[in-house]
Amino acid sequence: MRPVSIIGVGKTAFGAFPDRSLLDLAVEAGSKCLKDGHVTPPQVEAFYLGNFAGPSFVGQNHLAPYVASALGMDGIPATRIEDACASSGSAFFHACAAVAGGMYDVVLAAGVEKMTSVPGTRVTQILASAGDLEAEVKAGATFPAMFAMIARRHMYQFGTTRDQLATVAVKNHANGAKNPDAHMRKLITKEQALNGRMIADPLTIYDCSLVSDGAAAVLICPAGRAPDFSSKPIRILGVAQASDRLALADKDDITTFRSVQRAGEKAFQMAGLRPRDIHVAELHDCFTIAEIIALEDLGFVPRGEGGPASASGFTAPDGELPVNTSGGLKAKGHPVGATGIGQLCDLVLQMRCEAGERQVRRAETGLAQNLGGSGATCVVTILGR
Amino acid sequence: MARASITPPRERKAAWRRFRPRGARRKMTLYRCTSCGKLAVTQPAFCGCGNRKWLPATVSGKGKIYSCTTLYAAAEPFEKDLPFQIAIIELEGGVRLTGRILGARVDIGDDVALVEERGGVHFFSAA
Repeated sequence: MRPVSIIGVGKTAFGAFPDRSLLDLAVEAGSKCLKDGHVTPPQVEAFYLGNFAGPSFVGQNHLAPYVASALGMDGIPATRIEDACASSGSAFFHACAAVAGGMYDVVLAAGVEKMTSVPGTRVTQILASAGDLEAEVKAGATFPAMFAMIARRHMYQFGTTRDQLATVAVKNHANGAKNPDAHMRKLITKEQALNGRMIADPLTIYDCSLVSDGAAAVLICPAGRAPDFSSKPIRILGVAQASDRLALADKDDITTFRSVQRAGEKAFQMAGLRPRDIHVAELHDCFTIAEIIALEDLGFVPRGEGGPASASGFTAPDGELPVNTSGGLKAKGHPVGATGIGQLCDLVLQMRCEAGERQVRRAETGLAQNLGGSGATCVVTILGR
Repeated sequence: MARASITPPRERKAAWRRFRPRGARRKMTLYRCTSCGKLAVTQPAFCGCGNRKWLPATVSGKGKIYSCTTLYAAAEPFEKDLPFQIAIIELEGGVRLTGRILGARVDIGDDVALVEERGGVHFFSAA
């Protein structure tokens, strides 16, 4: 297995873009990425595309060759990967495995989602299909409801408070306000977060991430060849994927995500690092509680202490572990299939010291955690300079 | 994807009590692994222990709330039922399932009992 590096990144802004099609978005991200990596389309040997629900949102199937051709990548193996909100993390993982295993040298991995052209209730229904239809969706469960039950149980077992959830929302909105590509760039106060419209108690609208359009792409190659393409290649020190049961009721303990623990352990082991070695992280804050639990599951804080840690400034831009300096899914946006690779793009910017106003002090190592559904898939990536 | 929502039984309290004494509960048929004894709500192909054989097991339909939430926004077919509460109920025997709550709102730790099963959805009320 040979080491792999990221030699190019590219993404669109995330937001609601009525005039942009799914293809437009994917082509923009892909083109920017190829340009960034100084690679021409004929040099790309394989294409992996993460996308959650293109067929449901826009009616188009067979998306990978569709996008590959539009990018001028003719005839190469092109595959769409679906793992709910971890679709592009998973696409990235499989792209890495292929390069590490010697199958290809230059591979493009991308993610795209076009969500805003259908009504809100239909979006909710499509998103719910990432849950177990028979076991929970039929009873009326939505994703906010599933994470609300997770939050409630976490509050019951560990004393986590709504106040602590709100600090996550406030932080991520403050970070997003400094990100020109973020979907939502307005600041919010803790009072606004607490008093927002209730979606599924105890989660308000401000505890929930956004419905967005967007695309992101990364270019990878064997680490040995990276200097041929990039003056600032970023090494993939560890990458791992894990799964779990879909239905919340099938899990022994809903206050922790076993897939996150499993993927995190494997990624840290591969990288030969520990949680305290990570300088900056992009964690999957589909809901505020998810960021809190990710801190625990990845070993950054002990079990049950994610709430107090968030409230104390541990994860602030000037904290010990800056989390979601991009704004996270909360403010940057969550075009489902694009999110995983979007996180990697944001991490790479930090690690290349190109994050402008959002630049953190230390960024030699970074971690991205991409979660699918209510934890049935997780991909964890550890990057190094 | 477009499924009709399961209409919950209407809560005609007085009439309901004429036919069902207070606190009555339905029994439930679950599935028990013939190898390790684990219970499952719907019959899976493989048990976690690797066994593929299951036998029906009747349980009382009583349980406790493991977690719950009241929804104020829902997917398309369920909008007309808003607001409604769903819960993860831990049944006697340890197995959990997701169900709808009828009647008064419940909280973690409350005792509930199965009122009705309709179209694969289980409806529980505070016991």
